[in-house]
Amino acid sequence: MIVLNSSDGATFEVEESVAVQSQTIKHMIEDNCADTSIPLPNVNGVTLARVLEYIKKHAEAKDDEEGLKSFDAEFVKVDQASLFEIILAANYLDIKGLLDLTCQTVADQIKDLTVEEVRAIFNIMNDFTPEEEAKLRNDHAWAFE
Amino acid sequence: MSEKLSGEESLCQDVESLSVSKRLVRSVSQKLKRKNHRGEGEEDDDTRAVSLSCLTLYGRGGGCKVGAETGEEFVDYGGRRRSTSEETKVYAAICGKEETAVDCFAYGMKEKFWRRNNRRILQLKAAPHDSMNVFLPDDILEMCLLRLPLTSLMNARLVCKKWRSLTSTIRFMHMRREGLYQSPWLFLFGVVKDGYCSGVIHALDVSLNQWHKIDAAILKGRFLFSVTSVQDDVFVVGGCSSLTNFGKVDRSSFKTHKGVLVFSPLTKSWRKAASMKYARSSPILGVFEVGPDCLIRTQQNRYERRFYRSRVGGVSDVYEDPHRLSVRRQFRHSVDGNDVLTTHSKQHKLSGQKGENTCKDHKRYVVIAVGGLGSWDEPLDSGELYDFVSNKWTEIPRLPVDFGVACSGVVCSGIFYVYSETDKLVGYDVERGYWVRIQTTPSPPRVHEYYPKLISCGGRLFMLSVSWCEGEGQIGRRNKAVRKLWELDLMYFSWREVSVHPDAPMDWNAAFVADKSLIFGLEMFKIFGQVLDFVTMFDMSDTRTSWSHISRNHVAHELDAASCMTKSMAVLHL
Repeated sequence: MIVLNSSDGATFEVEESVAVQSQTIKHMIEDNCADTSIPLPNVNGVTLARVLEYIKKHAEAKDDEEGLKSFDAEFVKVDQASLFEIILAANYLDIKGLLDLTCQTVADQIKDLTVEEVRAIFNIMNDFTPEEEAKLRNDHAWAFE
Repeated sequence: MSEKLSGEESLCQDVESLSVSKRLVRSVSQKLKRKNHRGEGEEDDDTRAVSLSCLTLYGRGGGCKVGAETGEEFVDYGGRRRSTSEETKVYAAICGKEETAVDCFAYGMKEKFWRRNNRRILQLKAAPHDSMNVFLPDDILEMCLLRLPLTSLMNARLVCKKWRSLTSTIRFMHMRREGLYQSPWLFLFGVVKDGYCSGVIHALDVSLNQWHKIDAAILKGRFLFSVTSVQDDVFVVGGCSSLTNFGKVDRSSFKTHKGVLVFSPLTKSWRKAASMKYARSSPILGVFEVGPDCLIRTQQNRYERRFYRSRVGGVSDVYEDPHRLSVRRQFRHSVDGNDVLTTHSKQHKLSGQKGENTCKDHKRYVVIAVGGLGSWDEPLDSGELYDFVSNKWTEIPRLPVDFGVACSGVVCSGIFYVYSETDKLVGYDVERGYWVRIQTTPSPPRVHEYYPKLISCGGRLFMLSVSWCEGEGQIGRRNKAVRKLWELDLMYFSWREVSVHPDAPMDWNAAFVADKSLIFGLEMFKIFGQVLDFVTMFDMSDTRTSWSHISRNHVAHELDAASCMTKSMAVLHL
């Protein structure tokens, strides 16, 4: 069993065979840094719990494609901030499947929004001048119809 | 008191100025609500997360003004500058904790707004740049944007300068291609409207099933050209223009072009490539991808040499030269002062080109054009080869003597297969520079007017051919025509039926193209006074499914029936 410590001091136990889905953890184990427990200062307890839920499910139900698909679909139904936390954790822990899933979710959310709506969601300032923006829209006009 | 009055006036104004943003807030939150459809409890979180940030965005007038006079927590908006630009300023908590009658954003948000504590508001209260966007570092943002379909990606480029620069680098586009996040786009050329070839291109985004129109004034008046896709560009080769009635499809007096144009949909730009040696209309085109160190042999036509070898089902012909003397002779000649195209390992740019599209993957492409009709509408048997690296057309050996008129061709596994109107098949080996006559099992018998179309995907060679088959359940034997997909076994050269196209073959000039594992077909025809179009798709990788209809009657209703004859199609992954 591998012991993981989140940034806020929570402790989690997980089987090594499951934990190695995270390349980061896998390398730590290989480099013998995992004697007592692995500290993960970049991931908080709530997020780490979620991530572990994901990798546990993917380890045990590896061959059940349909089941995993529906699990994944439910898994990403979280609020925006949590989703971003999970992405950051998946990136730090280097879990490819989870990273792909969450990035695709964000892309799907952005996909149907207009430019103004994207700015609203991400709270981005429009730093184009009106002339610049008009020119850009015109250049790609055919893709906007 | 005067304060209160002015407060109410500005209140009305503010409410009005907020009307657009309210709509925006509602549409955004609704969209997210739809996407994040889940059980209760969490839903509130989500809408609130969105709405709050928007509230702060657009609450520059002061947000919940109704209760403005009641609580001291309410922000004093009187002193705030009202700005109409898109600049967002995150204001302090708009409303306090009291359950006052707040009716400003009356979309049910009122209750949600008050139900929980204000922890989230305080989170968003921070500096303007403490946004969701900042939570995601650039490399992760990039990973998300990679997965956007093209039209959404174009939108993303307009969001802000950072997003624009992130998504416009060559590296980004390269990653998008390598990661297979692209999806197929069909480009329909050569349509005729009100008698004119207006040069409009219709593009179908297959994944979203949306049609787009692209104006291409440079193509005005040109018809019967051939198109083919080369990585991210479309090659437009040859064609005709009317001399008397410019712009019209008029074959009474016309000129035939040698010119070649290249269209880049991603940048909506055109450039000219070198012109061919011979003017051609409707040439047969093939695109080879060759290794960077490949030597391509071509042969000058000085001796009008027509070397060919025949192969009968794998057994060597009795006339074949066992010592390969003819081949040695050929190579000797080809080395003697004939054109041999070599690569230059360093140079990647063509003159006058932006440089964005060439050889970024170190892949080298070569385009072959054979056949077509010449300046006097005579069928041509000459062929030429275009090399991107040198931007030159060079002649290749002519089609074999008794081949006939070429009607279709495609490149498959290094050989350019060409089919003739008399059902003969030949193949051009681009690296060795000669034609091979290919003997196959008898071609599927076909309806005479429908010339077969060769297509290739996944290293396999296919043909779409219309043949007669017996009608079912009819009294007596009624024949009906049906279009079938055949595959040529490249080991034994036998034809095998793969599938039957679901639509009755109404269009004798149906366009078929293939890319990766997908085959697309576009049929356009006039019936009962209307011009109709049908787009179908066949997924080679999915053995369970057959042809599917992906679009019906989106383009043709405004077009002339002549478009059926002049249309051509290319497929790109964008």
